[in-house]
Amino acid sequence: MTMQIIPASPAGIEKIAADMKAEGRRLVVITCTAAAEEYDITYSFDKENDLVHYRLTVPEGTVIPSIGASYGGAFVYENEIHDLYGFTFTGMTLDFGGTFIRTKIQYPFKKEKPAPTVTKVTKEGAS
Amino acid sequence: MKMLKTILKQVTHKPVTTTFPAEPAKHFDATRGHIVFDPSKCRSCTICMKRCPSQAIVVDRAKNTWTIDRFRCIICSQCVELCKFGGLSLATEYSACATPEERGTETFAITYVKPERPKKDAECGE
Amino acid sequence: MTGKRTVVPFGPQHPVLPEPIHLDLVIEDEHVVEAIPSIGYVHRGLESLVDRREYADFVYLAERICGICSFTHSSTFCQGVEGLMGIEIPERANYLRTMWGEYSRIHSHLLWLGLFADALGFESLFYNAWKIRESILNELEATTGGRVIQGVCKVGGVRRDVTNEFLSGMDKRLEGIEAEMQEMVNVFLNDYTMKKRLIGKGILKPEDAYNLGAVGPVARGSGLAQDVRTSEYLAYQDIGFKPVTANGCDGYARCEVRCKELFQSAEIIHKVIAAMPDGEVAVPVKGNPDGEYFSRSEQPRGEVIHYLRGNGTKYLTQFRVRTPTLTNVPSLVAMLAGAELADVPQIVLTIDPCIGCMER
Repeated sequence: MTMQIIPASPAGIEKIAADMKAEGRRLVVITCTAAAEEYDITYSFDKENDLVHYRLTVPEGTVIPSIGASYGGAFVYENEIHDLYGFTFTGMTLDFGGTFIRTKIQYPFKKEKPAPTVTKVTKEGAS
Repeated sequence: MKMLKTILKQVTHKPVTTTFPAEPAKHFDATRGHIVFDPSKCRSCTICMKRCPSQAIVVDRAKNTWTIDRFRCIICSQCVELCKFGGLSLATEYSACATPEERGTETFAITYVKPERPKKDAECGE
Repeated sequence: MTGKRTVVPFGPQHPVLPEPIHLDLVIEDEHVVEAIPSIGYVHRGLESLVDRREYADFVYLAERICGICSFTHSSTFCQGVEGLMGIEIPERANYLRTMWGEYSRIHSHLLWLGLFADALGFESLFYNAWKIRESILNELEATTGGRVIQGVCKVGGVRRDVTNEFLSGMDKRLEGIEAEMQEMVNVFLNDYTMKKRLIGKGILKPEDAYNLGAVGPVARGSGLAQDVRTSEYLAYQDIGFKPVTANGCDGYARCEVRCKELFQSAEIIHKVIAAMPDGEVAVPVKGNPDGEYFSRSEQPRGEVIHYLRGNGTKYLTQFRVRTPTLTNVPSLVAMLAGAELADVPQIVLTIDPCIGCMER
């Protein structure tokens, strides 16, 4: 599958989403991942199995405009990213205010607060 | 009326379920039931411990034991594939149930004895 | 008459829900005005485990994202790692993966049909569906060693081969299973009660389905011919594939799509077995994944996306999964608006919710 990622900026993402919708593409996924220093938020749009990716590279805690105006289904991803990574989205069609995914640790996938590690089996005697 | 055939089948056929404890559960040759450990072949290389996705196996070189937590084991059989010495194999029966206190842990004493080498060689692994 | 609005909580524990999701239903008289979902009851954080397990070991974890579409998760993950490392897997492995994927689709759809019949109070149909599912599970167990969690995919191919004699036996047995399924599906699609409960309930218009990002049988039940199997992956290109669609846009249409997909999957299995190439089932894998990749495939519930990023070590650095249920939630919200309160349980079930994999 093609892996071409077009960089974008938070200010322009609403326009991109509107253009994508006009092109007849559907929103596939908004993926947020921790990159080297900042976070990558990738918007993927699809039309007849042709994926197009737009990527925002933003520092932690950036306020990002929601693309809910173009894609009503974006709220699940935006709320999820808010709850797991701590980004704020403005103008979401349905804003849960941090209660979409309720985790014990706030923003578990954020960098400086690593998720709790797995139970380590004692390994005495290992080489 | 569309279910008439099914209803008649219910009357004439035996039930598809089995009376489990009385009749043993059926297994296939390929079924991954539980891991069987052969203490006489283990050379304590610990590859099974290192690569176990669920960290179910603990090899203790000091005490010379091999321990498996049956509750942790997901029977992916990766250890069976990785073991170079044929010390691990798969059985088709599922492992027996255990109480939470026992935690289903089983420990085996490794009985593999390194054959005597004629020349002096660096002791490794033991 | 406009009544007062009441909020009725639905879930997380409810007889029709096998897994926990919570819906706040805003009710006016007996009609649902709005439904607000909330999840997070079974969030396991599986994705963040990826940097603590070697990529080859993570296949088993990826498989456990979902208990029903387990095979597709492992094959999608392997496909992603193979894409990152540029591995071409042998043809036979491709065909075997396709075959097991379709078997697990049949088993997932039968499970859903059974649960659905049970939710509507049709107990005997539920037993029938699960009885047929048992023979599918037996085939899976005999070939892979696991009933539901197959554990048979690995990076570079598959771990077990199936002999050609056994494959032809499976082909024959599948015909018998098909006949049984036909009887069961007749009840699903023609029974008076089923029709009464399903037709016109939970309407999702095609344009809504597209804009809200519906996938899988939910989208296909609204007449969208959207299926990742039309793209180039596994053996679907070689054997030809055309998605099943229904135009009803309601619960009946979604049920119909799943019923028809049972036979479509069986047909694919017949074709795969007939065209099964000989040869190796796995290639040795050397090196470590580097770069990033979006891996897609079609699960029983819809399109799944695995995002992987490696940095040249044996541990992947990032792994994100988007499961079909998550993207079907906005559609569910759209379906529920305007529905009757008594229909809510069955409408929720028609999207085939799998909350465990939705939250990873």
